[in-house]
Amino acid sequence: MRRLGVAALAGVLLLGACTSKPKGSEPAASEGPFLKGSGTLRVLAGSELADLQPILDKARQATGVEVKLQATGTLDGVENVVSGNAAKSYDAIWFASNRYLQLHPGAGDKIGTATKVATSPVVLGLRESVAKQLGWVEHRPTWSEIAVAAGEHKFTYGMTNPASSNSGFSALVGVAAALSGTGAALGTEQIAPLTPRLRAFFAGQNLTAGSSGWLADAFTKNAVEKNDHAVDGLVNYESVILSLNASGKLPEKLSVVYPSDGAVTADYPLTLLAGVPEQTKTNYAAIADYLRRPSVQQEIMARTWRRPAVPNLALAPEFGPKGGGSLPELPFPGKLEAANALIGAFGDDLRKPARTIYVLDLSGSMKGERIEGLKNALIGLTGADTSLSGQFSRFNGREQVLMIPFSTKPGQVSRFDVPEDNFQPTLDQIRGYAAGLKVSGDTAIYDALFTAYDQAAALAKDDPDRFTSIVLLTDGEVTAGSRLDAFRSRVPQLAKVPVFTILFGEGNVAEMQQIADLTGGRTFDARTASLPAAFKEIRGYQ
Amino acid sequence: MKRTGPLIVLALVLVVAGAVAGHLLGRGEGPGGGDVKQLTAIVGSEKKPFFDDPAVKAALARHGWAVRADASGSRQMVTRTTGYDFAFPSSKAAAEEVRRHADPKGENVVVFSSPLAVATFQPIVDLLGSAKLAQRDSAQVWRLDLKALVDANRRNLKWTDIPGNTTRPVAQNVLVATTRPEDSNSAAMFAALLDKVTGGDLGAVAKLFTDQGAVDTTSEEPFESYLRRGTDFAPMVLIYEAQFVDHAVNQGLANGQTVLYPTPTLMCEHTIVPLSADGVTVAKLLASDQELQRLAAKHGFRTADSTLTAPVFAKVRPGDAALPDSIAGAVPDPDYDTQHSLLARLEEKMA
Repeated sequence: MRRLGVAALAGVLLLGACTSKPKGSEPAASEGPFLKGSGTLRVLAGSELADLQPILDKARQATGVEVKLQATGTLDGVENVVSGNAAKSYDAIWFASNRYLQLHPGAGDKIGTATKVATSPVVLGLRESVAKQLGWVEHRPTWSEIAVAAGEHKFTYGMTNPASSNSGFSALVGVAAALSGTGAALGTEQIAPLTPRLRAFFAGQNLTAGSSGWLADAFTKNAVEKNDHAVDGLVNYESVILSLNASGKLPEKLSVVYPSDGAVTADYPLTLLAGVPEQTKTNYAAIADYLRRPSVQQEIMARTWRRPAVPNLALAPEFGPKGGGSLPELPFPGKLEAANALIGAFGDDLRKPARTIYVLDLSGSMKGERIEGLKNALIGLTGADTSLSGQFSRFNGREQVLMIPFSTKPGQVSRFDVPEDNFQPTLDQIRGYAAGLKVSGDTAIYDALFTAYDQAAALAKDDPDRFTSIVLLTDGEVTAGSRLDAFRSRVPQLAKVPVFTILFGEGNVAEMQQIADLTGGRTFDARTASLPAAFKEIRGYQ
Repeated sequence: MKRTGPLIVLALVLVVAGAVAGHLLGRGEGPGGGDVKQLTAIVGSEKKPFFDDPAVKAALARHGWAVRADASGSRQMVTRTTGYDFAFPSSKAAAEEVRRHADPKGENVVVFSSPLAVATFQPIVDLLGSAKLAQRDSAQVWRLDLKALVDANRRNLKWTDIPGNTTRPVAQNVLVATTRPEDSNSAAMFAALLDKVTGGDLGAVAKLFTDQGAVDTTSEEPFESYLRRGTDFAPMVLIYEAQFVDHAVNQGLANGQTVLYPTPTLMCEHTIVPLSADGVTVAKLLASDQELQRLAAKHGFRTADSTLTAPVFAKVRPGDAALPDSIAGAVPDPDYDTQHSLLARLEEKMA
């Protein structure tokens, strides 16, 4: 009787479920029933995975599990997992790769089951005309040939910062592994001898960013504007390059250059964190099962241009290399020390050095907690922040740092030229400067910005080959000097320097957004996150 | 005949007891209409396809069980067993390691076995043959000479160094792609083999791992990359023979996919550590039930009853290679203490 009762009840529930079932939630005939869970799966994820949201919405219909993605940078993510903080707020992590994470001692104890969801190699996308001119449509160059051509300024490209974003890190690893020519994974001692050739490669970079998504947007904007600072291509995931081509927004399509000596591939492992409750494991299993179904893998490929993670699915014809050429996987460093040395070398030795201009509001309203936050943020960048993300967001060797404080008027400009070696004394000076900041007076935002642009233009005359950017921190409305209209009308005459604005205090959000939009910068929110966190995040864009 | 009477009575008692216990424990309704109890297991990744197979699910359900299998490297399991009904690592030594860090509820149970093997491609085998790193034995089984491989790696032999190589003109060292020995049993067992052939030269052993750089943590991941990407991922991938057989029988071989056996090789006894009373029962069921054993053989594992394995293996025809009927001359599955000590020293060497 009891059994019958249960069966009858189940039948009723099943019928009820059937009538209210939304479309598209039936499993493909060959793929078996969906696994079921309930509740949410909170996932700390790479920002580029936001493009999977439509798939995750369908996964929710199919499994009953809502996947909530919280975006974070690579190093921040790794740091949060290793410290155990991630487990306090999240159930799983989902980055382009777990390889760097797993180099950290004890990382394996912080994570559980991992499921690869998609793959994408990091390659070079070049405007078709440029690729043709270089002869790289017919002939596939090696990374070494690419580095030489970049060093001779035969083309320019954008790439993300390896300390902030996995695509930049993978590119750095790939080119270094290929150039080393040892046939084995890169060791720390092999990095220094590669410096001249890697510097040549990075001499061709004229667009940088802290995330792949922003880089793609900035590249598109640049391509549409057709100004004289054209960027010819991107070193990024194949998926980003193919997505840009499919977007229809580019005036000229990108030709995907698959280096003949190989690439480093992202594999997107959705990874459970250790110690989660049973329901979370059930939810994870249901989502992992859903995402790896052949029909869903097909949809991921069609929507996001990432390759499937499961075997036996045919690739769309856009995926290369053409003619069945090979794209060997290049080895990823197997030692944390080597990986970290490579990221460190990128900042201090290999990259095109930065000219970083801070425009800092020292008006009366900044007193107390706010000025202390600013001091901490700046001091953190001088090496005082010893966390993983802090370590790699420090001011770099060869970097030029300018401080332009302002209140009623722009204040005294202070310039710090960090030398190539022995940079601690200069970092100490910056630290001393930051510690001595004092507040008083009004808020002359735009006059201070003009000063920053004047400085940038003057310095670029003798020393043009730098990534120059301005950071604007203000906690209030403009109360003195020029206004936004004056700035807007002068932008066409100003040097092409992006302004990264920080949303803070009672600052005018709309104006900060406009300044960023007008100059090709972006905003960073320090109202919910801390000032040091915002300053660190901006480092990826400088 | 006379003894079946009491057995039937016993079986009936067990069924009734099981049903009662099921109700008390709140069993759910199974897909077949019968009661099933949901268990969870943490298993070596190469066994997840077995547990995910609808036929295996149905066979377990007939006995009243449903098992959700979470994949993990066999050695990573040590810190991950909380809440599971059983752990299912891929060797006796790995099972002993799990056992020492867990709260087992019964004896370890060997369920099936599979030797270490190397998934590769026919042109690569030919190339290895020409470089005297592999040869086909009298039973037509291709063997990878591990001693020769280590010696080649000592002098950093690259694929491009092999004369006449047009199939893989890649300037990378000749290596077998493995998982991480600290996480995964297959790599740990490979280390044991390399230790054997080098007479304990840990530097040489470590180099075959460190030259690869960062690698995956579970055995199914590199095999999947092998299936998906071919030689682009790696020309040789360390696997359990079962993975190859499973693929050959259930998907079919393509693109010159073939298999090599390292010489010496090692038979890995996939062993359950029961972590709950139900885990004890299911472990015994998996090891003894004829249907489940037959399904294990269908997934490429070597079962105690070789008549189950033979018809499956007979279907596998990888190029000019044969699968060995028996794994002769294998190094014995090392005991826990030996293996633990080796891996600790290797980790130090690799750091």
